[in-house]
Amino acid sequence: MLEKFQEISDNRHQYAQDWKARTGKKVFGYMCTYAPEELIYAAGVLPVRVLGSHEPQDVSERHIYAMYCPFCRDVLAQGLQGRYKYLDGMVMGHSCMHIKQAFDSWVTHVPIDYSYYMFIPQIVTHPKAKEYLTHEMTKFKENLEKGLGVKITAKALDNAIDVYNTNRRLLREIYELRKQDPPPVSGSECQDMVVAGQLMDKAEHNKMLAEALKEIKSRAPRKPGKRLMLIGGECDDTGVAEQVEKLGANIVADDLCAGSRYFWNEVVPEKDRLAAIAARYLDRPACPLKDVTSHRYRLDHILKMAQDFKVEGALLVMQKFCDPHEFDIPVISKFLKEHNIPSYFIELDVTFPEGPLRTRTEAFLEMLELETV
Amino acid sequence: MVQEAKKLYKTKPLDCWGWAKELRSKHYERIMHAKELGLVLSSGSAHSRVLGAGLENHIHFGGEPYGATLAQFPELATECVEATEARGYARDLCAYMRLYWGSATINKTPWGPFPKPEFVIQSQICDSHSKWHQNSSELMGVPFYTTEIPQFYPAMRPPDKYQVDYAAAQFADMVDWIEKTTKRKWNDQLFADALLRLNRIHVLWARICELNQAVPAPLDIKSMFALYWPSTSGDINEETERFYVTLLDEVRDRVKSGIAALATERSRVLHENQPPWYALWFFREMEKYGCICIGGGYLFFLGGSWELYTDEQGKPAMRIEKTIEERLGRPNTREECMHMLSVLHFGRYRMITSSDAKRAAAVAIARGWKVNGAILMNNRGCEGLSLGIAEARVGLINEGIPTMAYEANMADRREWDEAQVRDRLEAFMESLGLKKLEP
Repeated sequence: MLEKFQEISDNRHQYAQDWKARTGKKVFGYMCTYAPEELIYAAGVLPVRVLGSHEPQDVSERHIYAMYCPFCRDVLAQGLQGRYKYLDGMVMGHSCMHIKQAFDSWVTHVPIDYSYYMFIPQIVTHPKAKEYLTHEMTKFKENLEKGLGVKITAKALDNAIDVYNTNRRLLREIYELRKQDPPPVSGSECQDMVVAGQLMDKAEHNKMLAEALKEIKSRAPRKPGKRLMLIGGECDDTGVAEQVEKLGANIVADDLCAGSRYFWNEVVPEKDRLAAIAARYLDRPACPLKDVTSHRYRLDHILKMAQDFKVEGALLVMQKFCDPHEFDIPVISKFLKEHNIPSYFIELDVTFPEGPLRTRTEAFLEMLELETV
Repeated sequence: MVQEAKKLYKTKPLDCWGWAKELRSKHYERIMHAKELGLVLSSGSAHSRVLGAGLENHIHFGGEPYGATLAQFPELATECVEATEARGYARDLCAYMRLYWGSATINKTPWGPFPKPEFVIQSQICDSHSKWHQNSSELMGVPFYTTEIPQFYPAMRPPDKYQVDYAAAQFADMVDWIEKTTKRKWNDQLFADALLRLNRIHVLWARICELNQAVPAPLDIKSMFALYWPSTSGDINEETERFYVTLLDEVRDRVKSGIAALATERSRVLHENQPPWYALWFFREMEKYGCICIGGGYLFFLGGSWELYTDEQGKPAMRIEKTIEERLGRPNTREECMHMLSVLHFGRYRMITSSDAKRAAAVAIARGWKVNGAILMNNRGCEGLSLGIAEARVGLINEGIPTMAYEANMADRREWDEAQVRDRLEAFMESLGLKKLEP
């Protein structure tokens, strides 16, 4: 069952095109997990995150300066190469300037019927942030309705919230099982599930998750190993976790946008549905650019997760040239050290060389063993 | 290959040149002696200097201009960036910031110990800014407050009322925070005066830049980088405004009298992005070919007040904005002040946060300032101004403007490849049909 998630990731274009053919509905791409998928889903459209292809390319250089992160360049390249010709629209929820550049270049140079950029407040704790984001949600809803010629009803919003909350609950339930020592599910399997969810109709994903949950519960635990946490930026290449786990470690938790940050909190229903959705995006585990005030609440969340999942070491993973995470990683590393959690930094590119990753992770694991002795 | 350096125009040094330098020296002098002078010293990005202007005897230590200045002290600058890197920060983060942090870490500036501010304030015109000063406040152990300006797309349209109100509300909260933190009273009239004055300065700078549309150009970019400094980073006071009024008169006279910045001007280019501050000879090098650099989006917009629009031919164009007082009248209440501050932020900084605006501005400048070519710096040291730099080049190419791109870091000279940049510039000059002129 679990391998089906990876199959969908590997065949993401086929999945989206099949979905489109069998439902007769539209498919939108979105950049960054701050795009409010619930609204797109409520409009009857399948939101599909544009993730990395992890293949070298030579078409984005003309549009994005090479010191912007490889992920945003990879994303744009796939648009320019025509791999997403089936998309009917592109949406972005603001997180950083790098992916904003990919969005601008995409909508400028790749023919697309519909595009929408939404600013998501960066000072997410500001007392007026919820009211402001609700306004942004309202504008987006109106724009979707106009662009698609549909009415997004309260019923459709309720359904979208329900489907998405169910999805978040199921993923969280699976993650909870990783608190066991040793866990019954690997980190790479979990990440496959999350990544597939960013590419699939959530109603279908929910069915698969429910089956997967049953399967995992009936499984024997994995071999014991050092309990690691992945923390950092965009890292949708589940091969990283897979390689690390091949060395005998168990990745038991993560703070990634292609991981727990994507689903950790639910929409808490309230009368104003758009306000409820806005609150969810403000309250979710933050990326560095949503944690910009004098109290770094991202650290609180990471520490709690590390403690809850009995993490023994953390791998800090980051796309090369990712400014937001470059700001936070030294702070997180120091903070974890203060709490007796050793960490190790790994920089990612569009592709990653397995050999060096293996050698460096082995060294880190040996270091953790020595610390235990 | 050289050709005769025939002087086509008369030229003479700028009368205001020394004054611009004096304004900068006085500014740093006051910062270094803020305590003795009884001044309230804040820090943050340069554009945040107006945020504290409602305090009596306030002065602001801007991070970017300080980084640019420090870049010109090679040994100290290297010591500073290395001190930051030793704390685990990546080399491709904002170079101004790495210099600023490093300078605070080792407690050294070119003029003495690092001037520790009383507090740090910030508005988010670049995604790096709040993270920069979140860390600065932790490093220096001083209070920090950040506000943010919603970004939007496409940037050529005006922001909506909610967006303006949201930013204004945050500025109002910031005032409360400043009063509480500093235990000093905020003076709304003082703030209104500073805000209106700063805006007038920005309009004056835009008018000066506009005069550079003249052929021959009355100003060259290297000089303009010194002249724009007070408008982007200097004290917001009567002398700064008077400086720009005087400079505008002088530049007008130069245009009227046909006085050129470059006597041999025969070709014109624009430059987009910050320059490599430690290698401004780059702009003198092109002058050896009779090529003048007339400015660019970074130089015009950061210190100037412009409106970008689409003209009747469907092409990007820009015009000087009316002063905010002409548009909205004088603000009488704090609420009106904050609203005005918000409007000004949206207007001026979209060029930084939007790729489409940067592309439009590059094309508008190429058309309006009659350039023969464009030089764009791919800046390893600035995330914000690298946004849209490649797209600006595409926009220029689509308009038939020859372009040259080079890679450098505006403030970290360890990433400067002089031979490569020189070769590239020479090849570009030749591709524009220019030959080196006899000295």
